[in-house]
Amino acid sequence: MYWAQLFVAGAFVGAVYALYGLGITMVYKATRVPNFAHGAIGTVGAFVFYKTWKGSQPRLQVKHLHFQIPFAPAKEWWSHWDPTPPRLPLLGALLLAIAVSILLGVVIERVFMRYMVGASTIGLIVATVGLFILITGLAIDLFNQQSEQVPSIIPEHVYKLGGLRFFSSDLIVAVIALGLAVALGAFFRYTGLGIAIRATADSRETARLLGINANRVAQFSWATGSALATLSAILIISRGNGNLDFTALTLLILPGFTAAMFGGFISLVGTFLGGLALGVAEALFIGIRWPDGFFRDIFSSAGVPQFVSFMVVVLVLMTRPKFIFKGVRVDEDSGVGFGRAASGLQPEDRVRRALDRRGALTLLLRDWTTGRWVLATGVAIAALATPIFTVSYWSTVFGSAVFFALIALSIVVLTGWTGQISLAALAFAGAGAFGSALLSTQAHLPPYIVMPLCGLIGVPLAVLIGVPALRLRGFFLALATLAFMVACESWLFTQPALTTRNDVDRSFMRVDLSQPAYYLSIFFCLLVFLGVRNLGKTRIARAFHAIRDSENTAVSMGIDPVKYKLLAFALSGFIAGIAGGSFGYMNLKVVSGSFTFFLSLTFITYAVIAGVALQSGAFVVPILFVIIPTITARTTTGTNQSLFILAGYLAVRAVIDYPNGVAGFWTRLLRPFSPSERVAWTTDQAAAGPAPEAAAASAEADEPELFVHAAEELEVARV
Amino acid sequence: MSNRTRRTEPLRAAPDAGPEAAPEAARQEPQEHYFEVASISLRFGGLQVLDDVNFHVDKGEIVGLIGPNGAGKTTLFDVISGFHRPAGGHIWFKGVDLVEERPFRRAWLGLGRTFQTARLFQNETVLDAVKTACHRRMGGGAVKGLVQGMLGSPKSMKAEAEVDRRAREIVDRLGLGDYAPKMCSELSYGTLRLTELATILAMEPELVLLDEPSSGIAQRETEALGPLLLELREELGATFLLIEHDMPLIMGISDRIVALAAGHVLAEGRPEEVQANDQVVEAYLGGRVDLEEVVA
Repeated sequence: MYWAQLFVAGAFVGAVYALYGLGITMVYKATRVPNFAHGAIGTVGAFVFYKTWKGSQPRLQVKHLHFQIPFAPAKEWWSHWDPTPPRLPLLGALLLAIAVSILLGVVIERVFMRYMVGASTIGLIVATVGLFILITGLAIDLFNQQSEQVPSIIPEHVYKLGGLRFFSSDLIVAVIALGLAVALGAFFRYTGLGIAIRATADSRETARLLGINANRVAQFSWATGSALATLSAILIISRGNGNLDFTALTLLILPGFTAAMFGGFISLVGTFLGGLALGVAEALFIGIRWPDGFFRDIFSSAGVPQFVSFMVVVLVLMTRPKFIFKGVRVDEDSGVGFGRAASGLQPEDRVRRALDRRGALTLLLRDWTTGRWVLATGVAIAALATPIFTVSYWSTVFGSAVFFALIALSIVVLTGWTGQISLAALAFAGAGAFGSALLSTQAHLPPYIVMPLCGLIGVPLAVLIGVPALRLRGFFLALATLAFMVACESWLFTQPALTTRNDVDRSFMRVDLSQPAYYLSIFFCLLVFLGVRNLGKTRIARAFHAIRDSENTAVSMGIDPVKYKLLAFALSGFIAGIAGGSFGYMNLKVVSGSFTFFLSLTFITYAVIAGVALQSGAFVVPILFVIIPTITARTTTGTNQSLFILAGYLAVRAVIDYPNGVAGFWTRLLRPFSPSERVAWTTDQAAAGPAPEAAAASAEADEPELFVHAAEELEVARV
Repeated sequence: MSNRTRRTEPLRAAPDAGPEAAPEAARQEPQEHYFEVASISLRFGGLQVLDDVNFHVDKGEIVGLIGPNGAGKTTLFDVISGFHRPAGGHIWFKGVDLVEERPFRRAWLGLGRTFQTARLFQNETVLDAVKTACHRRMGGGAVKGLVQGMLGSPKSMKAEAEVDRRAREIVDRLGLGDYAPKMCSELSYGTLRLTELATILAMEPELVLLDEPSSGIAQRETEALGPLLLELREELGATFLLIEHDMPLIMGISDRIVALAAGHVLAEGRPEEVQANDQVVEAYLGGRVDLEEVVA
């Protein structure tokens, strides 16, 4: 009876997962976009609903953009704007919430996703992750972040059947989930619009030729998906303990995606069953009565459901059952050229042209070799001297900059160089940070031994999560790493064994100030950056790039993809582990709240904005997201979400328009000048003008008889 | 329906010299030929893409693989280079069964290939693509390479300098010098094709699989491609197996031709023999006899 009750309870929790999963599957089926922002959209809808229906009514605050703009008045008009939301009856609030979410979906499609057609899977993942951060940031700013108890929209009854208890809210959610799965399935299969949506997802061009308005279809899909997200979120809160809470709602992203995975992101019934299976697995696992000892210790903390989710994801991805992967198409090339191929003049080309007209480009490029040394020396002096002459505050800020730079570097190596998306950078860092606490306090090791060891802690973890990556690409890998990140955050890092031993011992450094820890961090950061810089010129880095750009070509050149992918994961884990170590020494106390999946996702957006394909991008991240915000930020009450909002928005823009990022802009702006470039500028102008053939013709003429020439050259060389 | 059965009947008998005995013999004595495709079969769902394909290539030969669209030529290349696992059969190369080897190992055994839609590394420069192709030559373990590379050990620096010199030499010799710092995504199709050949030169394979080297390049360039391939053979001392639709080109440079249709080997032999083969003509022109019957 105990297990039967657990089974039933698990199945009902699973129905909730299925609800979220259905929305994710629906959007993917209709648009081929793995929507990591699904949960965030639902959260916004749920907040709109409860704030206008029966929740507490804080004044809406727009606190974002709290940066000190030079010479601007201290208080901008928007900080005075704090209206109170209206009070509406149940139906009115529900309609308003759904209308808001539909609007949100339409805006997302119109403003962002429309320009992402044909983008690589990694690009889509980064874009929706950016949307997730943008929407969550806005919502936290606008609504109150504190969780509160809200009434359920479903009247509560308890039914008894054969000794099992059923709650009315559970039953209703389960029925709605099943009904949705069947109804959506029928919609896609039998209605004209459903078939049109599937056709557009399969081939946008062909669908357009057949007279389908692809944009409108996409808009419809996003609107429906968003409404579904809101509906699910409201039902989930009603079914649960009635807790309106940001963290809990955003965490549902993992079980939602896991449920959708069971349907291969295509099958709606599969998603429904997958949700149930996951819920049951979690309930049964939690229900196990472990004997006293190790297992009881590790499985009695919170976060066991997340651990089970992770195990389920890994098991499924490792065994790849046929019924799931039957219809799944694995994309061949990932690459970091996110969006469509850039055409015409890039922004940096425009700047170069403008500089060239004024004769400044030659000067700039001539002096850039010297200039970069001057700049590097300046940065080095600032980085080394500031903590000496200023208060401890600035060494903390700079220490945080080192942490950001190292995390970004670990993302650059893995995602930018090797094309493997990982959302778990902070999991490795967290492991390194807890490692620094254990090694310094428990093992009494000196910092210069602890730091490399922290890096080594990250290696096996990264390789472990890299194993599913061997046979998976794109968003299955993203899902595996997300599951790992969430499991680490909720389960591993909350283990009593770790949280009771989370102090870092700095006694080796004689003076217990943050300055020595800062110099320690910057020393190791420098070592790692130099190492990666050296590595960038070797065959190892070329093998990484080859796997990123075309795995098949890499294989045909004799590059072992298994070995090099794992190597990239290991290196990334090592760097993140070092980052964790430096975090430990800087902060003295390691808590799981510093290594959340939300922050981990944020780092992906940071890296993309700064330029994920280039090592210098990792250098730009702390400047953009630590130093500048620290200088410009104004003290506010509550959490300042400005940075997340900006980062989320810029990341999506970067994926669409400018995948090179800030670092790519600088690199390309200051690349050596070639005379043919001036020609290209003129032809580009010509192409923009009346005669587009001129550019094509000049491109043709630009290419002399290469093959004839090559044959001759070879012959001469041989004779 | 009827014409399909009629067409396949004679084809099954086409690889003469006893198809029943051949696979067994091949299994026992793999050393017979330098490279041999022995009764390779492959199904995609209900479609028999390759059906008992047998042919061989001797050392130093240029063998052309022809056939109408959908004959299974590129699929056969994918099987040889390991992107598809065949349902049955063996591929013997220098006495090793390639089917049992992992795809990247085949490059180490001396197999090199280009792709139908030239897919070189989009975000790499021409020079770096050629350097990447030197991967096999550089050898060494991955972990060791990582540690040595990060430390900037003299050994790895020396190896890198050597590869750089070599890659520049190859790029210059193929007249790609001006393009060396350009991204592969910026190149025109013809230049990309030539860059692919440069990577082949850098890989130094013993057996080269070329998938439609002439596709997408201008006519006058195609004419120069033949001599260029012959030069490449001299240079590398390699054996070539190439898919090509340009008949003058492939008939001009091939020592032997293998004609494939609907997953079967239709004919095999010297270019003029294959050209004269009725079945090949029929496969290319598409069942002319049957059509007349229908009209009648």
